[in-house]
Order: sequence, then C-alpha cells, then structure tokens
Amino acid sequence: MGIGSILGGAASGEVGTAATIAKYSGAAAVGKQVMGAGKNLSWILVILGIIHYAFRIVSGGNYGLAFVISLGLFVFSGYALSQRLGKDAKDRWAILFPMLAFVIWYFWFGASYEPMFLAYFLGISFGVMLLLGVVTKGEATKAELLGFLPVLFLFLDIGLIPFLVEKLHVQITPLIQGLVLFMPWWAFFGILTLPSDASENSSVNFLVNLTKILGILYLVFVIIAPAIPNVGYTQGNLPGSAEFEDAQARLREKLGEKENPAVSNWKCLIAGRFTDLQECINDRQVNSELRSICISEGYEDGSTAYNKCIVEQKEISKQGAPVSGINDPTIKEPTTVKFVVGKYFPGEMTHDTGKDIDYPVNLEIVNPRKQNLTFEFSCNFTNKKDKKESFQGTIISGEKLEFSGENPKTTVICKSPSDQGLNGSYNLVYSATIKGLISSSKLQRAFIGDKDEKWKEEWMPKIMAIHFSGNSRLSQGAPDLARINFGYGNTIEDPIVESKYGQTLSSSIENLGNGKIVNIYSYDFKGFEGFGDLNLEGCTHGDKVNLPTLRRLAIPLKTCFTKTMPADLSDPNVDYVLKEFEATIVYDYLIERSTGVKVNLVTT
Amino acid sequence: MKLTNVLIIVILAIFLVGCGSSGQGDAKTNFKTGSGGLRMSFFNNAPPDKIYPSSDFRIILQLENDAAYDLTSGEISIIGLDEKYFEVGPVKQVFPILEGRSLLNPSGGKMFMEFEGKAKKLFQNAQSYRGNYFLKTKFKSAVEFSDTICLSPRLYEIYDSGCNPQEKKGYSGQGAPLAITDIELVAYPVGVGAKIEFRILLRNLGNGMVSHINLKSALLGGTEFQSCEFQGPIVNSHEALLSANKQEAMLLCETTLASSSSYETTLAFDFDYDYETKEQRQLNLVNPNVQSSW
Repeated sequence: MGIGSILGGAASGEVGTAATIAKYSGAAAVGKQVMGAGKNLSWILVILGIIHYAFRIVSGGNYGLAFVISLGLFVFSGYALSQRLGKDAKDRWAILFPMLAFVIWYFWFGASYEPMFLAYFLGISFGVMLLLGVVTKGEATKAELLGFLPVLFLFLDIGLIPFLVEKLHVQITPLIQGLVLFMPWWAFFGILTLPSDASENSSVNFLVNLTKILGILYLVFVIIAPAIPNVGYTQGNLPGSAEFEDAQARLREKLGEKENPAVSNWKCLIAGRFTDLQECINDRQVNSELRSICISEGYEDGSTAYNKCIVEQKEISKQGAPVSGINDPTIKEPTTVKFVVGKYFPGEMTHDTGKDIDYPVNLEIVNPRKQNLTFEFSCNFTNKKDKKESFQGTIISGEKLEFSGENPKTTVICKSPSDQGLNGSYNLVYSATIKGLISSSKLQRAFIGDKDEKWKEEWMPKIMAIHFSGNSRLSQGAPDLARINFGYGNTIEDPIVESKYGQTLSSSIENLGNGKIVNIYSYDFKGFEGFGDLNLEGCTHGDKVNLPTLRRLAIPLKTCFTKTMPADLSDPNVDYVLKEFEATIVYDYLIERSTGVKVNLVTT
Repeated sequence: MKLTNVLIIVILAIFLVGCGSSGQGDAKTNFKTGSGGLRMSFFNNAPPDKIYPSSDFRIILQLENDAAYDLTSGEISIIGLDEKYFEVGPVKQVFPILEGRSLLNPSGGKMFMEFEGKAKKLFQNAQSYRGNYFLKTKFKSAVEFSDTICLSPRLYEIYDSGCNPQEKKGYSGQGAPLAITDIELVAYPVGVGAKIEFRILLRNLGNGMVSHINLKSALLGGTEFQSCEFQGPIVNSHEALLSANKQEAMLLCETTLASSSSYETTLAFDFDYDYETKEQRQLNLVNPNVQSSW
C-alpha cells in the first residue's frame, strides 16, 4: 500500500485500503473497522476544512485564529493519514517525523534558507529518516513520505504563493492566484484521503474519486505553474505566520467579488477564445465584478434595471475610481432616519370592507447636529400576488413635517384608500424624503513648501507617523446618509504637499444609507481660498449636481488642478504647516420601508 | 570625670564629622561626564490634559540644561498644530543663554517659556480632536575633551619602561550629547620621526540631532596638530555635516613624534555644534457634553 493507493485509489481502481490491510494482516474484520475509522476522520477533515475556509473568508481581520486553526488541521491531517494506514501499520507514527521536522525548521529556526544551514538540517533530517527506514526494514518509509503531505498543504493553505506575490514580487499570473486563494485546501486534503468506496452510494463514490483526480491535477498545476524555484531565497525573506495570513487576506480582498480566474480561464477555453485568451479572462473578471455591484444594489439578474446598472457601472469604471473617504471615528452619532414597525402594527386583520384602514409606523430620527429637517411622506400598497395592483395610500399624520430637535420621534400613519378595499396580502411601502440634509467631511494636509532631500528624509516619516497614520490621509466625515469624499494634493492621496508640484482636487459623493440621494443642491469646499484655479466654477463650489438615473454608490464631482497656493503654505515659516479643509453637501434623501400587510375580508 | 570624658568624645566626634564634611565639599565634581543635554517638560496643567472648545490655555515649558556647557542661540517652535483647532502664539520663540552645569550652578540653567493658546471649535459633533505636534528646539553648544595619553613611536612594541600606549580608548561622554566616544592611534613608520594618526570618533549620544560640528581647537601636549580633518560630508576640513541617519563623524588628526621613547602627554579638543531636538506632544480638544474615553 503506497502513497498512490492511499491518495489515488480511485485513479488506480484499487479496491481500497482496508482490503489491503486485511490482506496483510489476515484480519479482514479489523481492516474494515480501521477503514471505517479512517474514512470518518477523512470526512471530518473535509467538514472542518470547509468550516475553516468559510471562517477565513468571513472572519475578515481574524487572521491569527485562522492560522491557529490551520495548524490544528495540520496536526489532525497527520492523525487522519496515520489512521488511513491502519492499526497494523506499526510504523505509522513515522508520519509525524517530517511534520515535526517542518515545525522545528519553521518555528524554531525561523524558516532559515541559508544554504549551509539547509544542508545541515536536511542532511540530519534525511539521515534520521533513512535510519528509521533501515531499522524498520523499510516499513516506516511510506509513513515518512506521507508526512510531507500535511506539510505541503499547510504551506499552500497559509498562503505561500500570495506571500511570494506581495513580498518577493514573483510574477504569478492571476490564474495561479485564483487557483491558490479559492481552494479549501484542508477539505481537499480530506477528500484525497478518502477511500475509493467512501460511501455506500456509488454516485457519491464516483464524485469523490472524480474530485480526487481533478484535485491532483489541480495540485500539480499549482505547484508547477508558478515556477517558484526562480525565487531567490535568503534568510529573513520568509515571513512570519501573520504576514502569510495578511498577504492572503489582502490578495483575496483585491480580487473582490470577481469570478475565480480559474473558472474564467476554463470558460474562455471552452468558448474557443484561444487567440485572445487573456482579453477574454479580463472581460469575464470585469463583468463579474460589475455583476456583483448591481446584484448588491438590489437589481434582479437579467432584469432591465439590472442591464441598465451594468451599462452605468461600465461608464463609471471608465471614469475611474471614485474618491475614497472614511467615517470620522470621533463622530459617534451620525444623522440617521428610519421607519420602525412597532409591535402594535396591524400586520394582519379581519375587516368588513378593507377600506380606510390605518397603518401606523414610527419614524425615528437621530439629529445630533440639530439640523432643520423637512420630511415629505407617502405610502403605497402593492398586491403581493398581482403586482399590477398598486395604489397610493394617504398619510394622515401630515404629508410634510419639519423637525429640528436632537431626537425627534413621530408616528406616520398610512390610510388605505377609501375607494379601493384591501383584500389579501400587500406590500406596504412607506417613503420619506428628507429635504435639505447637510453633511460635511474634513481633510488634513501638511504643506512643506520646497524642501531638500535631507529634510524630507528626516521629516516625512515623522509627519506621516503623527498626523497620517492608518487611513487618516483620507477625508473623514460623519457616517450620515451620504458623505462627500475628497482628496487633494500632489496626488490626491498623498497628504504631504510640496509647493513645486501641481495639485489636484477630486471629490465624490458616497451614499452610505440604504436609501437614495434624490437631489444634491450644492457642494462647497472651505479652506481653498488662494489656491488659484481651484476657485473656478464647479471646483470648490457647485450648485445642483445631475444625478445618475440609477442608484449607485458614488457620484463623482468635478476634478480640478492648480499650480498655486497661498504664500504661507508654499513657503511656511516653520518646517511645515498642517491645514484642514472642509467640504459640505446639501441634499435630499429618500428612505423607504417595506412591510407586509394582510386583510381578510369578512364575508357574510 | 565622666561628664568630661563624654564632652571630649562629643567634641572629637563633631571634629571628625566636620573634617569629613569638609573633605567632601572640597572634592571637585567633574560635570564634564555623561551625555546630558537640554531637558524639556511642561509646567503643571499647562497645557491641561483636556481643553474645551473656545477656551484659552497656556503651554508653559520648563527648560533645564543638563549639559556641562552653555546653550546659546536657542530657539523653540511649535510645529504641526492645525490652526483650525488650536491657535498658539507665537509659534516660534528664542531663549537666552542657558548656563551649563558647573560648580557655581551645579544643576545647570533653568528657565520657563510660555505660549498662549486658544482652542477653537470641534468639527461638527465630534467628541474630540487630538492635535499632535512637535516641540522643536534648536541651539548651539560646545563640548571639550581632554585626557592624558601615552605616546610611543613604537606603538606596537613591548613596553619600553616608559608608559604603556593604548591603541584604542573608549569614552562615555564629556557632559554633552555630542561626545568623543573612541580614539584610535595609528603610528607609522616605526621609530624616530614617526607620524602618529589619531582617529577620533564623535557620536551623538542624545535623542536629538547634530547637524553641524565645528572643530575649534585640537592640541597635543599644548601644541596644535600638523593636520586635522573631518572625514565624510564636510563644509571644510574643520566642519562636518551630519545626516539624520548617521549621527557620527570621524576626525583624523596627524602629527610627528619628536621623541624616540614613550611619554605621557595631554590631548585636548574643543568643538562647537548645532543641535536640534523634536519631541512629539499632543493637545486634546474635547467636547464638554461627551464623557471622554481616554
């Protein structure tokens, strides 16, 4: 029973490990039992592998825990492999040797790649393995070789290749990135260790065996294709575990909601796009990203609105990425408005006519800056079965209300029409347009004038450290319903501004709420007085922004350039001057709340 | 009799203690050791830990000279405060000569500097704003070095019944952040008329930055060296420029030895230097309506 029989029983058509064990031991019953235990462990590994993969994707920043789980699965996989060898394989403990050697090399010796060290370490390790093989008359050799498999999978899982891409700048194709990042390695390992008759169901067995064959091809391709041996290894270049995990997470993030490049690649090959394969892959990648944006905005795949959204997103992508901004961490209370359906809402009722029924919901407003807010309300009923049956209700609590307090509350009552009785299930949608909302953002920049390289070498890291750590180089605003993001500088994200270069001001409006920006009356920037061309119409002030027909995440504003700045900033009398700019938008915002109502008519 | 004995013992004791005290007082304290420099601290509650919007505050700095040399042409500036939140004036002030530590002034010169500040409004309904800034000081100062060394034209030979020359000698500081830390002697050729080269390493042992060192005098046995030259980036042979990431300079001084046997002599150097410190500080503007978390 070799490695091939354990991992690739399906490919060879071999009956299975248990039978082999039984043949060797002469105890078929024991063999079956062992096979059963090993099979169970393999299935457990498959399940744990899937959970680990899902956790890694979902957990976001908890890379440390993901790594710990990887190590746990590493140990577990070794145990599962040893179980697959069967109880009669007395030297199965030898699996642990390569695993132990790897752990010592990685954690104890810091993954040193120094040639002399490697020569000693590998020499000693293989020497010991050889000795074990001789002592056990070759019995331990199989187990020793199998022990390299968990090592290989651990490396693949914790992100060796993404690290090589980011840290060592190895040119790895998007295809390989996708192949590595979108593979639940430990689940795959579990499948590989399953026997050919993993289940009593022949279809399941066929699928398992097919997965094994494809998986081995996958693995071979991943290992060979990136041509990793071209990397120049030196001690210190290899990462710690956190760097591995970080690199992997960042690369996944970068790939976003795009189609797995491997899938794109296969689909393009099937489509016969041999001559423009890369172009085809790129197109599929872009389209899948646009699709994910439009789906996330609530459009039904294939609908007219969805197609419009795709067209519009393509236009946006041609315009370039919108300007980034972040929520101001010091503003804990943003301006928010929401409808709340209370406990006493008459979701289902029996009525004699179905007419003039009052449906009250609460409107909760958080208005920490005590803005004067005007609300316009409406409500609409749509029959759930017959969507064409749609009609307006009447807001009897006042269609237009004004609030200015910090936490005003009111009840919005929608009355069903008196000329159209409700009968059955309806979607009742409350709408409120909040008029004249004001939201502001701020942006800090350090003006250094025209300094020599010596000054910059000394000061720039210091300025970055104390003023622009993390994301604070980006504009910051309250997480209101909408936020204006803007960037300014020699490049818009560089917070240190040198006077000898031109500067760019770019901005966009981001919809942060669940509703829709329905009007933008104006935008204004403060602090740009004396900045030459930035004061031209449309740059630091603008009225009435044309909105796109479809809701989207960001609305880009005009980008402007200048080469001038006020004298106190172009030639500061101290080493540098820190200055904050402010941008403000005035806009209308539409929020909606949908709830189901049911009316059962009393029949006489 | 008993009382007389007691009195005699007491008087003797007082005398002995008095002698002891007198001896200690006479012992000369060498202030020109270590690497002390300018120390800065805030006066109590100036600035306060929390500053409220639209309020006035003061920044009072206490400057203490821990060096053994006077600090001259002192200047202090506040850099990096956003005027939208804090208006501080004047942002740059000069300070007069701050005496170094000496027998007459063992704790060194001390003074206070005051900056008037006005807090402005927070951005929208922000809970707080942290205004990070640098306190930058610039001054000129000096450092002197003197030691008795053994010279021999046969530096590498066995002891010749005179003194025992040392090829290398290390020093921990001369009472200033800039210090001679190593001196290496190289003699060639061996014998009478040998040239001896002194390789003097100056290092910044303080937290600030030395930008410029000027060699004022270099004497061996009261006589000037035949040549003294800074290595690396220089203005001229007696003026070295230091970069932010390399705060050391090498001075090579050469002379010819007249004597054929070893002898002890004095070695003395005087330097002027420009020094700059930057300390990161913070002003906290807090919303009075919010319970702050820090």
